[in-house]
Amino acid sequence: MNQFPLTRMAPGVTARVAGVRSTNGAFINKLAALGVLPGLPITLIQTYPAYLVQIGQSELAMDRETARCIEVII
Amino acid sequence: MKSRILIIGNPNVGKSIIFNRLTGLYATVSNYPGTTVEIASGQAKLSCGLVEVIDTPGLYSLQAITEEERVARRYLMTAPDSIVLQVADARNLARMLPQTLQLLQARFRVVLAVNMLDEAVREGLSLNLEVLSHRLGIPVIGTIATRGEGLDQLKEILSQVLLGQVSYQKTIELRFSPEIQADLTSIAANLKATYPLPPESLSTLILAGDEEIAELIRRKENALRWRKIKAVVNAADNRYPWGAGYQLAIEVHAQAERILKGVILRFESRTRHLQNWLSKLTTNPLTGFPILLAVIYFGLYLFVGRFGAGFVVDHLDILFKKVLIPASEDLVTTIIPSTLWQSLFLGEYGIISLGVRYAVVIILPIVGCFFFFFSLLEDSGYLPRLSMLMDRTCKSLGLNGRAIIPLVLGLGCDTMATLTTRILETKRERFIATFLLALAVPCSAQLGVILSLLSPNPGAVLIWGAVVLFVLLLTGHLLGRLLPGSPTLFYLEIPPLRLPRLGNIIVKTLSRMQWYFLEILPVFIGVSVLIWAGRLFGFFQALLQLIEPAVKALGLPRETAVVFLFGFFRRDYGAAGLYDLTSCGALSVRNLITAAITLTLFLPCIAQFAVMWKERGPLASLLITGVIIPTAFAIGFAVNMLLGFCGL
Repeated sequence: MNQFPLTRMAPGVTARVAGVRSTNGAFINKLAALGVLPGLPITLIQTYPAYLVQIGQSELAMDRETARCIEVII
Repeated sequence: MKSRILIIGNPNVGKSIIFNRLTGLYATVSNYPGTTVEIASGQAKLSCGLVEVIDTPGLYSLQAITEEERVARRYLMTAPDSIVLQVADARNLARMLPQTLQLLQARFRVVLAVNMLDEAVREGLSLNLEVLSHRLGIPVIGTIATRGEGLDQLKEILSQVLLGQVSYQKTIELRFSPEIQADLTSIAANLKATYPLPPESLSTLILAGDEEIAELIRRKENALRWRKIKAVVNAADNRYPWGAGYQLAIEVHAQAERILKGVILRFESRTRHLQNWLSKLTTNPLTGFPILLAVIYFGLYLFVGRFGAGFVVDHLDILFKKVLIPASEDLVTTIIPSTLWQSLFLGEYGIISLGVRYAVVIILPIVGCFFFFFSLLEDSGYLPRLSMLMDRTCKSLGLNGRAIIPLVLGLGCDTMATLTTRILETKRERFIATFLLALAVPCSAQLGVILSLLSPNPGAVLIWGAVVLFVLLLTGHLLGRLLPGSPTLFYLEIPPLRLPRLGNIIVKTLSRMQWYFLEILPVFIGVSVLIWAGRLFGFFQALLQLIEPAVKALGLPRETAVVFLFGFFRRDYGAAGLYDLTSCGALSVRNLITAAITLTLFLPCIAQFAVMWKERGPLASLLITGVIIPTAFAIGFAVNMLLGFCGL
């Protein structure tokens, strides 16, 4: 088991969400409400000009700082 | 029966369409989260009678982060006996159910509308809503709101709930792990004051780290109880690797998944290749940026600028001058014998010859074209993609990609856009966006008039655009640097691309045009009357003399002073005045560029100023205005000098 931030993942790879690392509770909750929850498969689609991931049925765009807070497991 | 129906749900799940279908009113509907920034209310005709229905901005859970979410939640908290109609996206039920559970925990009578069933079917999902209804203990109705399917059934159920014929005795309860449950119980034990929500809801929200609720409780309870509550929250936060809030979300989600077991059946998914392929093209940087430029060129420049501000305005103006003005001249001269009163309607600045003509002939077609274009962007789902592509640019302005929505909407109407800055998270971002809208984002009426004035000289358009863009970027950069704080994190759901429905686009465009027209016509007529009276009593000339030195310093003929005076009332009104001056050949190209730039940067119009005052407060509004006036003239002065050096 290998856990690291989303920013270290290569585009096209699918991993599973491990968690969201941040001290901002509201931010964590919002990501959780958007479906970033442990165990769910997450596919990185692209990284520029923003990160784009697929989680479940939805696509989520985010900046690098947000992507850095999302930890994944392969 | 005094109950109301509150429509609640995640952004972009079809709340506003359902609202429209229930009430027959029109709330702006689009494929972008955040179109409803205000509460819309209307009456629904149900079999039990007329009932008030309220449409709220999107809310992801019961926790609120942005101002627009707070609007929704405050409404929920002030109306505890309302019936809540929760609208959910059928494709993403697992993400929607936590909100249902939270609403039930807060003891609302909830009716769940599972919307967009057609999209779920297309993605190979089959939903057993009867089982879901049974497990939740509440009515669940499947709908396809865009086609009106399931709406009759929904109305019938709402009617039954209003009449008290539906039992809410056996609704499902939120269940947590023993540790969390113990935390919630000890927080609830310290809540002694009266609150708009039940204690279990409040303890869940405060454990989840909700700041607004924490503030409410801190104010209402004594210091000892607040310390005890705080201690429980802190201990829980330290117990879990990702904090208590995330743990709560995980547990609620797990319960939602258990409820959905056997409810959702997945068939072999039929992927929609064309749609996915198009979606990739819009987000991939290699194709996304060229598409973005094409959208701006075709949509803004060709459609709004050339077609709206050029073709339509020219033809309407001919019609107005040849048919309507002579006709109204006949009418006015027969009805009103006094030439003084005649001039109120037909003089140089008369109500008909100036006020109505500017509003109907010059402004309305341009704004109409822009709203049509913007509605297309909204309904296709392109706007979130635009946010994503522009995030980096926005960051350099101290904003994030989300801010592109108010900024682009500002190209249509800055007043509307200032209201939409509510979708931004922090005060700092709302201030920066409001400032930029007031200074350097020309509204479509102004944009249209200026583009059609300058377009005989492509070079002039380029200089104007470059200077305004430069001021926009520089000001944003400075504000981002000077104001305390940093840009907030950007994350946004990208909805699927959808083929816009022409009917929806037209209705939306018309309703926005109506909003706009009703707003500007009284102002235009009022300004005509004011100028007429001002000329009669001489204070108009006095004001003009006050502005003339500034205008002269820009190298402009003194007639332009009038245009700037108009600009105080409405930006577009000022631009429209420029249009008249140019038609009679009073301005050189150098004059025109200087005037266009200064006027673009100049004061926001009265309506925008009023909204700014309401949303940002007097201090911020006066500060923004105080910076804008000298900036506009200074830049105008510099441009005029530079153009002179270049021998223009």
